[in-house]
Amino acid sequence: MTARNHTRPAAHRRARRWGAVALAIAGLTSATALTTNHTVSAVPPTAKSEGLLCTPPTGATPGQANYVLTAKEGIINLPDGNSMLMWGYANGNGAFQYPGPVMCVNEGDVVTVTLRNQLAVRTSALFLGIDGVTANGAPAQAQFDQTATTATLRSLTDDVAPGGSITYKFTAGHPGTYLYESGTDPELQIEMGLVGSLIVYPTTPADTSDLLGESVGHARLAYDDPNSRYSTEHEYMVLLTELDPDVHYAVEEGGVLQSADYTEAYTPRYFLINGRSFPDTIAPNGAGWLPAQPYGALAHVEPLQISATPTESDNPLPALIRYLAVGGEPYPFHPHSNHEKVIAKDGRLLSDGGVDLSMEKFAITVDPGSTIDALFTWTNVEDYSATANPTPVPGPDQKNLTEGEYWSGSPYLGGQGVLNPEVQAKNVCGEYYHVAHNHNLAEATNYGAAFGGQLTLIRVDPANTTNCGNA
Amino acid sequence: MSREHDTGADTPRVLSRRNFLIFGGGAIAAVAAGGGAMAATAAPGARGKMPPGLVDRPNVRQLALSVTDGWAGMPRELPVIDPYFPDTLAPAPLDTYIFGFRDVTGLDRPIVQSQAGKAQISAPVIEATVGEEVWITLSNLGLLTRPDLVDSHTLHWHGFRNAIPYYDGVPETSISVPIGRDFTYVFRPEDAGTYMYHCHFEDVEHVTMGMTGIVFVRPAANSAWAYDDPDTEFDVEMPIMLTEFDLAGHWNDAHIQTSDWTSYKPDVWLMNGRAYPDTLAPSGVRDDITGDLVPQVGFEHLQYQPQTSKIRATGGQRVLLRIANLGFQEQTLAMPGIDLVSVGSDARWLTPDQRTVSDTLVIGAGESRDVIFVAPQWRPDGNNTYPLFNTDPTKYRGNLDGSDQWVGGQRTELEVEA
Repeated sequence: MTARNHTRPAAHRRARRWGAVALAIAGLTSATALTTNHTVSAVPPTAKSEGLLCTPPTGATPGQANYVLTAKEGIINLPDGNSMLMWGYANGNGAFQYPGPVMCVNEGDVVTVTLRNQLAVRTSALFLGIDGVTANGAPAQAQFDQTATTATLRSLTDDVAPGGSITYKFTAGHPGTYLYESGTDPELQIEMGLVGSLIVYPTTPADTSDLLGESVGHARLAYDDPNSRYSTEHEYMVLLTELDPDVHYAVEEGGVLQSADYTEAYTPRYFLINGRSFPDTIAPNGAGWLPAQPYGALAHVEPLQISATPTESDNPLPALIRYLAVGGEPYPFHPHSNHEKVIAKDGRLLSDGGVDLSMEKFAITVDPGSTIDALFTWTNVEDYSATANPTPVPGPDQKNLTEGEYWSGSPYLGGQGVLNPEVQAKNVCGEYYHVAHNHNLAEATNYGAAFGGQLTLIRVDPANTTNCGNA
Repeated sequence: MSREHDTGADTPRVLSRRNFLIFGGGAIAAVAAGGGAMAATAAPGARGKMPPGLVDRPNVRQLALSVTDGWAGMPRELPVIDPYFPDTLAPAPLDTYIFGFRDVTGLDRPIVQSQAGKAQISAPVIEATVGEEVWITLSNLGLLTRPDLVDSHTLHWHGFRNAIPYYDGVPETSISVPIGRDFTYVFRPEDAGTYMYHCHFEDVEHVTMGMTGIVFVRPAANSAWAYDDPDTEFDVEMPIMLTEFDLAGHWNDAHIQTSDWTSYKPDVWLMNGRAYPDTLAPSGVRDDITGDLVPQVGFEHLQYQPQTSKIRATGGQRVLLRIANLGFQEQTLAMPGIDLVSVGSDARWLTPDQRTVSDTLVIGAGESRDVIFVAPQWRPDGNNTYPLFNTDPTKYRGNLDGSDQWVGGQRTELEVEA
């Protein structure tokens, strides 16, 4: 076990983190990466502040992708001041983190994952949707505790005793978004945090010919199909999980959990995106005040400008959102502001014999253990502006309205006004904010308090302006 | 104090027929009448008045919604849940505290104000057509039972494409409407389909308290098509809003208690704001003199739940179900033996390759489905009733005498008429 300051149970360790929360919000208002102290963070300080953050494989041999995961315990923080004991997959000798490293490999790579177990219990890694996984050289198999007369299922895949290590190997056969998670006592170990994501990139290069030959280094395909083209500058992960504090408290106190604890008594109170709960979801990747929760979930785009001959400044490439879910029930995720085009599920394109079956959705239900890939753009269709095209009905005086903290004070993209004096304004440059959240609204809360939980923001900056830092 | 918009005087003007919106009970009655698409008719006297402070504009559909609290009635057969149900604060024959919207289009300001404390569930059905501009003026009348709760309200058009925050109704990223104030939301729908609207202020509470409704958009080409596709033609349409109530949460709000919404556990499952068997009762209407909803003899407890879910069609008619789910749970509905053809999902037309044919449909929270079926031929032997129900046998409350398992659940019927 790792050394840990363990003087009071986590459920009662309500450290006052309001300063940290204020910092998180301040982070939002910076268009560039924060230079907060990252020395204790699970990701390097040079990491990009927004978007999907890959952990690159070790080793330089082409076609080989090697990872070492270390199962260990640690603590995460929730926005209401609570904190919780977790188990997680750390990157090699790195610090505890939740969720596990985002493993990014290429189609056809031989992927080797060595799992070292620093927990006090047996554990494992199960790769959902991946074919042909071997464990220590033999096909990975479910494990049973055998007696003379009975065989009890112990693990859904080969597992490893405390202090030991095991090596899983597979060929990344299909591009897509995948989950890995513990296959050992999954009802406990997944809840405790042994989950992570695996991204397989296709080998087919993206066609950029309809961008007038401009250099568009950020065009990429999610699958071996031109309809899956997106901008690597706008690639996001939404990994949905939930936590029941009673389970974590019981583990911390050394309690023995019974099946009823996962059935009748199980009541999740926290609902997380990428291991964080709103407003922490919009803090940058690697935020120093969330040392064990390195992955942000703020989506940050510019408007798609409709043009017959698009150039890069028209932002013609959509964002890619990679949804993954782990938990007890489907999460109905609702992005405001526009439909998202669902192009793939569980690492397979939605197509049938070449027929495109992708579908635009305003609520995307992500089932437990599954993944969904979706493309997103936002277009300023109305193009309202203060002078040329004002909103049809002039608004009432602002004193007759309640204003929100992310509100710019103006209906117009890029416009700003002074908010009512009681509002702590967080808008920087007249950018738009839209929410994207679980529409089981009880799960868009922090232990029941609204505007929390599985909720994040989509930030839309005015196109090609300088005052948002995005010239 | 400036409560009015400065777009003009409150001058009564005659609305054109196409500008007219059919809300709530009147709309549903027209739908269920069969023999054609939802008729562009209205409750008498509803026309001729603009929302407060607005003037008539060509090609603009202008509506007025008020938001307030009120009381609804669950099925008379529902067992007691002590102390939560029936709520002892409720005026008889009502029993459940709600927040909700009301259609106050065309009513004078004092009449609008008199509707404080008279919310309805489900919210009025809003209809629009592609190419039209829709102005919806939201007036916050406050909460009569909870004057200590000074909540603002908003209108979020759920699924509206390329929305701007100003008209998206999320209070944290936009504005919301305080008590005693108005705000006019403007929408220019460009895509046909079934959407929904709800308040986003303290969203978990306000949504589950009843501030949810259906808004659907017709294609410009043909008002009897669901989408710009003749294959989506229909004769009869029925919007069905799915929600659930945790009655302890409603009681808590009435009795100045707070709820931990992560303990949410529904007691009743609703279609258009009613639980079975009330889903089959006829639709109610608004009295345009008093502004109040009119109680119906025998169904007085449904005065503030004016929308029926009973489907009536003649044999061979094409019936469009517009189903939206603003509860917190995924639901599965079935209509055994009837081929439900999915033509739309989340206000998106489905290609023939994407369509499914089944007598069952699954709909997650926040999703919408458009399905079309052909009504079976009328049978002279009298067997002309076809149920549409939630297939989860645990999602009902049960009867006082234990006899009818569907009481308090999502169940309605198609009645084939001669």
